[in-house]
Amino acid sequence: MSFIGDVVDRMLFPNREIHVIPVLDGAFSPNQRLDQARQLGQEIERPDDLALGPDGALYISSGNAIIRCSGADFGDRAAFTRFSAPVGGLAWTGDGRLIACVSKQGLVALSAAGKTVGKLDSALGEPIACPTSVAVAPDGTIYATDGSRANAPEIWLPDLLQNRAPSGRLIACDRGLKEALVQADKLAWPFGVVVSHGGDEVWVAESWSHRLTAFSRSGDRRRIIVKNYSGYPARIVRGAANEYWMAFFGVRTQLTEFVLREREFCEAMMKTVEPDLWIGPTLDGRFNYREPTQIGRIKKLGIQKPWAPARSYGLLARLNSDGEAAESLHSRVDGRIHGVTGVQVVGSRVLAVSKGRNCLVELPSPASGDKQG
Amino acid sequence: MKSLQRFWHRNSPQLFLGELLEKRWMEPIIPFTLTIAVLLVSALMIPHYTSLGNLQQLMRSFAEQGMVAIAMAFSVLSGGIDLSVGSVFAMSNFLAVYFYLILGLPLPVMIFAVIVFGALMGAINGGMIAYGKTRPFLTTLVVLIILRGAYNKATAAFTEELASINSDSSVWDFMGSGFVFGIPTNMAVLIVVAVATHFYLTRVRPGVHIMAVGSSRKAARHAGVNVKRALFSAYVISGAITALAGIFYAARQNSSGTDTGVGWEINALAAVVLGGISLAGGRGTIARAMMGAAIIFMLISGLVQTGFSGNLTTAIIGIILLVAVGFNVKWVKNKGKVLQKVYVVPSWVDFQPPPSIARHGGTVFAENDRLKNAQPIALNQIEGPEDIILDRRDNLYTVNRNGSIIRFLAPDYCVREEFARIGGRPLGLAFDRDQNLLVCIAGMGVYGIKADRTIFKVTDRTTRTRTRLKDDSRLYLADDLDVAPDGKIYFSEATTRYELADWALDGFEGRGNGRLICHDPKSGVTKTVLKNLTFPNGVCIAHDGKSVLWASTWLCRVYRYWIAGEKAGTNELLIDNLPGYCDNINRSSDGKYWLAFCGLRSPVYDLAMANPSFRIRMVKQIPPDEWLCPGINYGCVIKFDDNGVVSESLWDPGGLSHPTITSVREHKGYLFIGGLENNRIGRIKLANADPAWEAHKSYWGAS
Repeated sequence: MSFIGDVVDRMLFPNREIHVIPVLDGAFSPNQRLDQARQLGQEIERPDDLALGPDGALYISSGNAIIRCSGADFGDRAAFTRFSAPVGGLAWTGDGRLIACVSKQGLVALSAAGKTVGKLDSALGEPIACPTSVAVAPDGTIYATDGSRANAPEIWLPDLLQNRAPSGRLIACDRGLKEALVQADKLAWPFGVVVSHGGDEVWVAESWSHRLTAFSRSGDRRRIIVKNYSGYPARIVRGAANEYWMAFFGVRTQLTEFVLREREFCEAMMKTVEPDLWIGPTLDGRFNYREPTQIGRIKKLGIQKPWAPARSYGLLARLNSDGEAAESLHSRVDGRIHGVTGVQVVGSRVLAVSKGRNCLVELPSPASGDKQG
Repeated sequence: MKSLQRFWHRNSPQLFLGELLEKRWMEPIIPFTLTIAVLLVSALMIPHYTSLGNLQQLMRSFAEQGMVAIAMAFSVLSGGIDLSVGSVFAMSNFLAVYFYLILGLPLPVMIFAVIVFGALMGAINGGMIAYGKTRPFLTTLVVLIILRGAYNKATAAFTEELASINSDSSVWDFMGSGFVFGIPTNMAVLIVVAVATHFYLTRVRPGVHIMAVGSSRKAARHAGVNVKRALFSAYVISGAITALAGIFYAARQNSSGTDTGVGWEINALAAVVLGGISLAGGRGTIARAMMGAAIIFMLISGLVQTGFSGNLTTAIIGIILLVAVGFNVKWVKNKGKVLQKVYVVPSWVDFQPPPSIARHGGTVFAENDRLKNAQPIALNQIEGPEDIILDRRDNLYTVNRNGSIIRFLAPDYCVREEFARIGGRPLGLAFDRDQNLLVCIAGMGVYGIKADRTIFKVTDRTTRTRTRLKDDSRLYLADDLDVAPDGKIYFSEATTRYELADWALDGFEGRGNGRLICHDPKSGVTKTVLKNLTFPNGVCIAHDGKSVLWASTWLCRVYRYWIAGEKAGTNELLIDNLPGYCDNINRSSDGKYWLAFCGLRSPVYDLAMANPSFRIRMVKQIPPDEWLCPGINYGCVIKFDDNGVVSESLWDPGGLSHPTITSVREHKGYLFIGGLENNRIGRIKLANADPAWEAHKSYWGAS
């Protein structure tokens, strides 16, 4: 039915974008609240995800390592374990194991002491080369997302620009990491996975199709919760009171969407230009003299306007039990906390890692921040 | 194949289209085309339509309708409407016949009296509308009804006299059926009236006031226009012209029938609207009213001649009107949008990969910290010091974006004073031999300021390019200048297609839109020296005074144009493929030249510059704020010599205090740094510079 609706829509409004970028509005109205977040402890090199351990410490994946952060403000840092490839998503199981997503290797289960106690490197005969996130259901079932069959997690920008047919998977496996099933296939870079508060659904956030989908755990019913975000969704976690928190690692721009359509130019750009300087979302927006400029990004009297087209951006959203955004925290173009990939609820506090700006931050509590933004 | 594509993109017909659409006279293109179309169709369908006799006949019947349309146009342009024209016309017709043929008044007296009558009717309309503040529609409708009633009464009372009219006056006959140079008399008068009213509305103060009131009553009042008087005059003129039409109609018909002037106000209104005159007032011309009237007239007469019945004719006209007006409304409303979509025409520019600017890249352009600790001058006291210059007493002059020239007094540059306020957006600065400060002003031209602060105009126009639709004689974006030893002023005009606010768009386009211009103060002549240059920016007379160095911003090149010696008049490339976008060039104390980079090249942008069709689609598909543009957020300073060899570069890492650098000046061992979008001027001490060197001495000697 919606297909017919789309066809009619195309006929009546031939110039309308099918998947147009929604305006940041409503619950997504821009504010500066993410910039009010407090940095906890020292800088962390490219933190990707975080998980709260049974010992009350925070485990953060950073590059090839997992760091254990303990103490009042998680300021005491110690190396927990190290791999030979970058580590991404993290989750603790009920029985005290840490499941880590390791690039090109799959899921690795670690004991509380950091020893490898289990491994899952393929599902249905195909390697899990691009594990991006992992979540554990109350019954012990482990859900993981495999971003793409073509690229490893750190090759995310080329994966976006190559404009491939979606090839990501949602993988379900038993608590022993022995039997893996493919619960859903052909996902466009699934980057976040969470088991719903009710425990009957798994929610998956896909970055390249900018949507949030719920898959029922029993059976293969799927339901699209939000079909079009203005940002690229990253990880999603359960919060208090039937809520969820969702991180977006960047926001879409008209220019990026345009370049994605311009295949010839896009291929030439990928072939001849170094990746730091491509048109496309970046995590850090770190200073580079030679980055592509857009008219709206020209500084006026030395000031970068916050509403300029974003090369990098910081965005987190709190979703209600239906998956609709209830509020959002922004770090706009001139802000400092960009490229947030992971978020975690620790008691009454909400913590997030900014991969772009190398830090762990505590979000301002709703009472202290101004809701008006 | 590729060269053909290059040629196509560099000379795209879209350029012509864009500049065509920009023309004011393109607004009535729809009624104009329709007029021609109706004329052609009639000529094809009706035999002998274009014969001299038929044309004369057509013109004779048309003239009075044209005059009434002009009368209507006056009231509509003033923001109102005059429905009474039909009955004023009829009454004037009757009065002309009555005064002249029945009462036997002398002809001039009769003409005067009838015109006074028309003006009086207009005065009643205008008086009530302007001073009584009544609604134009109702007021003129009431006058229409009353006059029509009076007319019917009068014609009924004089039926017998009117039936037995016999004129033997040759002047009267000449008015009715004579010719002036083959043109019917009344048509000749219409032409005179149309030209006169056109001039009145566009060139004469009271007429311009009518247009102003029509455009915006409030703004007109704020501008000091006597709104009531302007409105009043519009209706008086409308009435007088209608009366004139009535006189000629009387001379032609020698009678006054019951249906004279019935429905003419509708025809006139239709003509005005069809011509594209806005019913909201203030927008439109007399020529448009004439076009509209001609279309209506030709349609009616054409349809009648081809044998359509009267009712059908009216219906057809109604439909055509509806379509045309609808189309015209859309056109007038969307012309701006169309223009926006077609005006930016990206060209093809091929770039080679530039030298590395990486800190450890090993090139002369390698990033360093030499500007990092630049001492800020005038921090937050200045907005956009595009250029800076120092005088013989070490005072610092700079430009501000509000259109003023600001002076900071030596030695510590803490005292700020407004040296002169000229307006526009001042850019490049230079001192001439007599220490007059010359300044290029975007949007205005080149101006000078004497030491006593009097401002004088140097030049604001140059030779016009005859082959171009756009009038480029006025200076659009004078950017930087320098003075040659013989006193001639050489200056660059960066682009003739964009305002300064849109300078990045010119970069996006990447076409040769700019010029190098020379002004000779002795003869007062301004001449374009080189044209079709791609954003010529910095201009500097070489140390030997024999050539002008000029920088092409978007091509990242420096050129040398010889003004003396055996190569005089030739232009040669001095430095190619720089890693940044060049801005101002100035002399340095060691016989070399400082060059500011207002931006740095980005490989993605270079790639896009060689792909105009990609950029054309970008213009069409995404909003301007999202378009790629040259990377003008970061810059640096380099130094080069007369052979085009770059010897050093100075960087502010991260562009924290000096993001875009548009100008650098050396003065007594210091380097001063300015930026188009900066809030300060920077100053650093130069290690190996001559501490006594100043630019003025270098140009004009020690005296």
